[in-house]
Amino acid sequence: MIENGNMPVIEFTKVCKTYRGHRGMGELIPGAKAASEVRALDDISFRLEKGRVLGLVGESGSGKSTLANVLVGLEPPSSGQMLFQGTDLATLRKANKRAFHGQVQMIFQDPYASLNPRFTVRQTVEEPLIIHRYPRQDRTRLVIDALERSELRPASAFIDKYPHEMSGGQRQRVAIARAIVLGPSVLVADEPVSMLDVSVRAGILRLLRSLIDRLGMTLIFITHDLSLIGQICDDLMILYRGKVAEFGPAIAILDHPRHPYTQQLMAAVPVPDARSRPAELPARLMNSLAVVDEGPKCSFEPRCIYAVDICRSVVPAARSIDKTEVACHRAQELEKSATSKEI
Amino acid sequence: MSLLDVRDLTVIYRTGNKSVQALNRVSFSLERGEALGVVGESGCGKSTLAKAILALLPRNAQVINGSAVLDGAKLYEAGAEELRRLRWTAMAYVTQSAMDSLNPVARILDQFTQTGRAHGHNDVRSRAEALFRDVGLDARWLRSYPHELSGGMRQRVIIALALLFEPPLLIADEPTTGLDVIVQRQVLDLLRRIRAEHGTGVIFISHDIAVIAQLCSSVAVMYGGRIVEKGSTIDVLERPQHPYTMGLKQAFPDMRDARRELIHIAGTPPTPDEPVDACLFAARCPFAQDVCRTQAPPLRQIAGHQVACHLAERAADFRRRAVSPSIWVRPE
Repeated sequence: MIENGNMPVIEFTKVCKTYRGHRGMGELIPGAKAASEVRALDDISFRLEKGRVLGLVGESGSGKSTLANVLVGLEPPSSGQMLFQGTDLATLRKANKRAFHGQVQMIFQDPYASLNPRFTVRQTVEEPLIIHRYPRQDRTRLVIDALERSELRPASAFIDKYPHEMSGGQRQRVAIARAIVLGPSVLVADEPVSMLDVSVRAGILRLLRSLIDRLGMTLIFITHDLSLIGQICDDLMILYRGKVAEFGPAIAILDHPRHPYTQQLMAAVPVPDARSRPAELPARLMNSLAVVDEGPKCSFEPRCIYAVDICRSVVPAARSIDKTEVACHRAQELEKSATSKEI
Repeated sequence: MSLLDVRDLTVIYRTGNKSVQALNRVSFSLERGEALGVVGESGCGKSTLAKAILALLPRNAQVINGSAVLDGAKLYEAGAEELRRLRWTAMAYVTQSAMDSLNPVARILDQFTQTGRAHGHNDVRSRAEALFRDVGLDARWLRSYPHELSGGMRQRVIIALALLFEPPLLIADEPTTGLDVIVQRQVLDLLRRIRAEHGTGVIFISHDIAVIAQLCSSVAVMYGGRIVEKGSTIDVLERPQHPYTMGLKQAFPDMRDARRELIHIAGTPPTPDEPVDACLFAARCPFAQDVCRTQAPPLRQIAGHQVACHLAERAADFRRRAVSPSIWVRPE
């Protein structure tokens, strides 16, 4: 969708990731049925340019964590291709792979769990530099630089502290310093503020945004909280059962969600207003365990109130509407009816 | 008579030879069918409050002052046996990770049966089936094991289990945190229905003011072990009198105005230490004056709700200024 000729930092082409299902005792019995396959990512294609922040939203089981794992190189795709700055990861040799891992860094949800409690801030932030064989004389300067960029100022006040001596917000800043110390080009942040106190969340979001803007990085922001998207994201991708339901500029989607799933997700988000009565959600949507029978159909169909015959027999291809890609057979007509209702 | 009456509840934790005050003279009452939201950040004492009411405090904690009376029963004068009976039958507790507290190797119906037997009820099957209908689960799931259910379904099983003896009081501590929004909505709808249909009093503890706005008729804002503001949810959210409540409101995102700049309250919540003669929020408050640093503000009745702020008379002016993110920025 974003087409201005720049080479994308990340490019996914028809990426699939399948896992084998639970290995039960049955597998030990000769002739028993093989474990079923779970398709965690199903034909994902997108490109992401330098300096952008992409919000990745979906329910648990939507594939957003799998997408992150493939993106940072923790898991190879089962099929399809992932290009990082034009290079296919699968073709990288060991040394280049290490360089790639330095280029793509992760920030985790829980700064209480992601930091080693026995490491000082210095040890935590310095560790990636040691792994990537930076000379000793440069390390302290790089650690201090990363801490100051993460707004732990003065760095000297924090560098010898242990995680338990800091607040949740400060710990997450240490995790951010560790992630940026190698000067990566891509950050993947998995729910980076959901464990933090409300009063400090905006500070962390603002820090991430300013680091992306100043250091020219790209950020994948994984969350299930749609109300944070407008705060930090340029682009938004809604995942449903391993497929892209909707992808486009974040504000455009928040203003005009076109996929029925996006619309329902947005309607379910509570708002801090005691007078607003929450909109009824359709019972069909609540049926989260709805059986998805295999075969060509829309995977959201069992929960969709707009489903018609074609949804039960044809997989919806992504279609472009304005700047957004929507994988819904009825996106165009639903859009029209929504608009006419407003009038 | 109120369903629950908590007066001057003060709880300390002892660690080594230090003691820290987790709750400081907390008072409130809850009527039948009322849903009270308790909102605050980590360390504000909201979970200690839940455990203190349930008399489930850990060994190193002690109620050093105050009382809690549930339906006429004085909880801190009750013996261990009476408390054991009151839990489940008179008050039930649902925690954030409650869905992981189901026994993984027992069918769900067996877990209902065991809980029933522990309280002298041998056949709870039909009751369990009715509760499953109430929480929107098909009764066939009673025969399943916990791992066969989704997180939201397990959380609803826990709520059904908590309602087994129709307790008049349900205390829920972050029961929807970490759940997907659609599942969260199911749990909230369920709690709202239980409250309306059974007249259950609900104490709903959360950091999420949007969830509290949708469920609770009244709200208590806690900071540093104290209630700093309390009133009807509409009143407190629309006309907050305490600067901390104003900050929380401005820090919270709202789907309807996705691009509004959120504020960040500089500084960190206080660590519960020896009681100090000051407003505990003064160090982070953009409006603090000398009096705030030398005297603890009492909880006072002002304009329809209670607030513990020396400067509450100037709240209207503070509210106007609180929307600006720059006013909250201070060096950490």
